[in-house]
Amino acid sequence: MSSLSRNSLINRTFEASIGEPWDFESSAGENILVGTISALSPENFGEWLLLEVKPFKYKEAEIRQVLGINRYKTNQVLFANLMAGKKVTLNFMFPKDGHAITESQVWKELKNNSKLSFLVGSINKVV
Amino acid sequence: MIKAIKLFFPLIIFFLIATSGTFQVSNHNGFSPLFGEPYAFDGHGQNIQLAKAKSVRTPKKKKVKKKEKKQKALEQKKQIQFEKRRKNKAEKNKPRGDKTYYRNMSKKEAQAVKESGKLRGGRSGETFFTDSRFKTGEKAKDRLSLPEKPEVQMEFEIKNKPKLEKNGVKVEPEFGGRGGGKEYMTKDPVKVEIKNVQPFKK
Repeated sequence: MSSLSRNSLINRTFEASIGEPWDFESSAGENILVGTISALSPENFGEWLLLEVKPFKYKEAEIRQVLGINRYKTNQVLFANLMAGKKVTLNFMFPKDGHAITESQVWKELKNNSKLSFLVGSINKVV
Repeated sequence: MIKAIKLFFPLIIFFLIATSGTFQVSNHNGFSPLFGEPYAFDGHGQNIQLAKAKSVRTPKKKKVKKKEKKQKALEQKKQIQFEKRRKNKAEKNKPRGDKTYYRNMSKKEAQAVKESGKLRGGRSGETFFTDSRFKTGEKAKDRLSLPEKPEVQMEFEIKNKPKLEKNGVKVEPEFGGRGGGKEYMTKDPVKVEIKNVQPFKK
């Protein structure tokens, strides 16, 4: 993929490989998470991606939405790397009960992180 | 008296011309003995300033050639240094077989590693490990930003040469634990020789 602009990332599909948990499975396959980018954090306000994903199970809940957050916040510039087609390593956070998050609720959800769990992996491709 | 003047006049004229630098007998191109300015004789009794004269251009060409040589040598030196650094980095990126690493995991994963001889049971995706030892599962979870509290700490040596994508990088998550632990990551399967499996205290 050649370089994209920030806003053109929205509605793009992505494929991520998941390393943690080691035995992760989604409806897309073993250790794979697939979905679309539905929203981005506002400029100069931290960096997160709101992602609609093919469902996976967490205990009893079905998860259809995750938040992509930098795993190496000083070594990695999330949007710039994605726009340049580079791989990014993220923590994919999600509410343990699987409830949906809107763009305006993201920071509130993240601050209340005892109700969140996460996956660790990398977005390899944005198409 | 007149005879003497007739005799010496051409000599005086010749002396004046020679000392003013407007004419040199032996060399068409040269320097005025009085002012040091370059002059040339054009063959019609006129003087040409030697801005473009050959004798002045030659040292400039030599200087340019010397500069070019120096630049080439510098570039070659830089290239050699760059290659050295690249080799060193590649060497550094190979995990050392004799070094001990740790992976914090569930009992189920530890069983899969024992059976397959590979971390994460050889499943695809990123494999993370560390060279730091943690006393409690809680601390390992927090410092390495793990989704679940690990049950055991496996000590191992690497038996193949996986390509490391993260080589001792500090974990600094925006959310998902405090971070600060050192992390190694590869997408290649990691063959290991298990040294020890230590359960964490509950």
